This record gives sequence, C-alpha cells and structure tokens, in this order.
Amino acid sequence: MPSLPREINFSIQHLERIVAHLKQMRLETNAYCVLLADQNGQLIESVAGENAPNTDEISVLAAGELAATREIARLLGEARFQFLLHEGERKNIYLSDVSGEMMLITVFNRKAPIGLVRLWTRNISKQLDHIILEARTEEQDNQALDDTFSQLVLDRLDRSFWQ
Amino acid sequence: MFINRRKKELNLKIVYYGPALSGKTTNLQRIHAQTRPNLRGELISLKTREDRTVFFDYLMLELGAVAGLRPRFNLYTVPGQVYYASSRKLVLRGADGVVFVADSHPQRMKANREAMMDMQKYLQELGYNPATVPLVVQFNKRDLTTAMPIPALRSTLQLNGQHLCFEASAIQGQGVFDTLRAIIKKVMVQVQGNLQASAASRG
Repeated sequence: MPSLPREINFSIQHLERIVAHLKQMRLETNAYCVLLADQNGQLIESVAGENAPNTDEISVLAAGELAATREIARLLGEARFQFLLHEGERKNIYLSDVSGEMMLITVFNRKAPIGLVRLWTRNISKQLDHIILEARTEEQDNQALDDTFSQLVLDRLDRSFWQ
Repeated sequence: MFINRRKKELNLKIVYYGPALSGKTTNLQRIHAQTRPNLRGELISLKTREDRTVFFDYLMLELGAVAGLRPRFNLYTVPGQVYYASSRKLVLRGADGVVFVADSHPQRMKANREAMMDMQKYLQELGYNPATVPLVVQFNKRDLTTAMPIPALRSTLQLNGQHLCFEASAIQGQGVFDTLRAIIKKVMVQVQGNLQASAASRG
C-alpha cells in the first residue's frame, strides 16, 4: 500500500520519552490514566493506576468521539475544537488533539481542578508534538518478521477459539 | 499496523464491511463468545435503541507472545445502513485487512453490490489500492432456504477466482472462524512482505 500516508514509526527511545511525559502528566493531575492514541483509536502508550479503565477500549471510543466532533466543527464552520470534556459524578475525561493526528486522553478525579488538567495537557502536548515530529522524519527501522511468524500466529489462533 | 517495540506489540486492524443486516456484528459476537476470555477484550457496540450499529463494534483479540512479539488484532465492524456512509469511511481508515460480509438473501443483491462498490471507492479515497488490500469475502446466511447460489453471488460482487471466499451462517457460528483465520493469514503475509521490503530497502 505505497500510496498510504506514511505511518509514524516510534523508536523505543521515542516511546520511553512519551511514557515519561505521560507519567509526569498523571503525577501532576493525579489522574487515573493518561493515554496517547492516534486518531484511528490505536493506543500508542499509556500510564494507568490500579483502578484505571481498559485503555485500549477508551482509545477506540475516544477516536470515535473526536471524529464525530470534527464533523460537528466542520458543520459549524470551525477548523476544529481544541478539546472535549465529559464530567461525571466521580470521574472526568479530557480529550485533546495533539499534532492534528494524535490525541491525549486524561481520565481524572472530579475533585482535580479542570484548569490544572488543561494546563498540563497544553504543556505535555507541546513535548509530544516534538517527539511525533521526530518520529515522522526519522528513518524507519522495523525489523522483518521471521518467516515462520505467520504460521505460529495461526497455530495460536487455532488454540484460542472454541469451535 | 502499529508496532510498539517497547512493549513488543504488533497491532493490526481488521474491518468487517458489508450491507446493512448482513451479519457483521453477529460475526464479532460469535468470535467474542467462542474465544477464550483471557485472549479477548470486551465486545464494544455503539448501537441505536433499535439495536442497530450506529458507529462501529469493536473487539480486540490478543493471542499472547509469539516469537517474542505479541500480535493484537483489532476487529471492527462498520454500520451498514445507507446514511452512515461517513462512519464507514472513518472506520476503514488504517485498516490492514477487510472482511466483506455479503448477504445471501435474494433481495439483498443490489445492497451487496452497492456496498462492495462503496468499499472500493472509500479504500481508494483513503489512499489504498483496492486490488492489493487483504480481502476475504464471506457469503453469510447460507442457512436460508432461499439463499442465492454461490455463482450468482460471485457474479453480483464481480469476484474473480483470486478472491478468497467462505460460506457462513454466522448466527449458527459456521464459517466465522474460517473467515477470521483467512483474513489474519492474508494480513500477516502482507505485513511480513511490507516489513521485508522495508528492511531490504535499507540494505
């Protein structure tokens, strides 16, 4: 699929730096979890406490929300909305666009000031922007998979399914 | 595809596409019901009150470590109803493979054909070459007494001998696993080829 937009290929170092920023964000806002995902809902990295929700599923649903919100923005003649906030009785969730292709998601306690989450979202987004730009421009170095890998996956799949 | 080398994960996206009520959600429900619970996530469905898919269904299969890498398959369905066209295109974005679920009911041939044409159009608009996207076709609802003969379905969908097709009755669980296994195999072959080509180009 050569005509597809180039995938962002994060190195281990990029991912470690992303995790460090997410950890800082979680620490400063006392969040349940902080996630970086792409706009298709693919989770890139996350840091989460013990009582955090399933981060893969949050990413997928958040991507759906942001996609719908982008369309609403378009209908209203706005380029985009900067963020989405949902307030619950105990937990809030804050979704924010990063680099126009990723999203930063924070699930936090209702008692945490929203202003603090906004502030840290802005700070961390700038750092993540840099990393995403670096990853986008650097040479991809994905290792080829072993020839037997596909067969091993299929064998595992066969054992995973109750016929 | 997304490879997280820190966590040694290989993430792949497979989309179940097809006309309204062809059985896309039923496929995922069957996979969810028949997969060991420790290897799959929750089945997430964004539905209307009438139980129709409004945006997508989602299920993750995580098979555990295989040769040092953990393959994770993100399975999605698209909403089949005509007015959710933009949602279908959004869900297709980033897909590594597609299962086209065709309805064997004689009155759904036009819907099958239109869905196939739409899918190819959307893939093209998203930058894919529809001819090279890993695709498996499932002829669903073969349990119907009025089910269309396979050659007629093939002709409706303009499928040639190269397309991999499976007969299924998703509601009875027949053909669901064969379809999933086939698309995973096709996707893995494509991923392996892309990675080898990428490694070769770096010398």
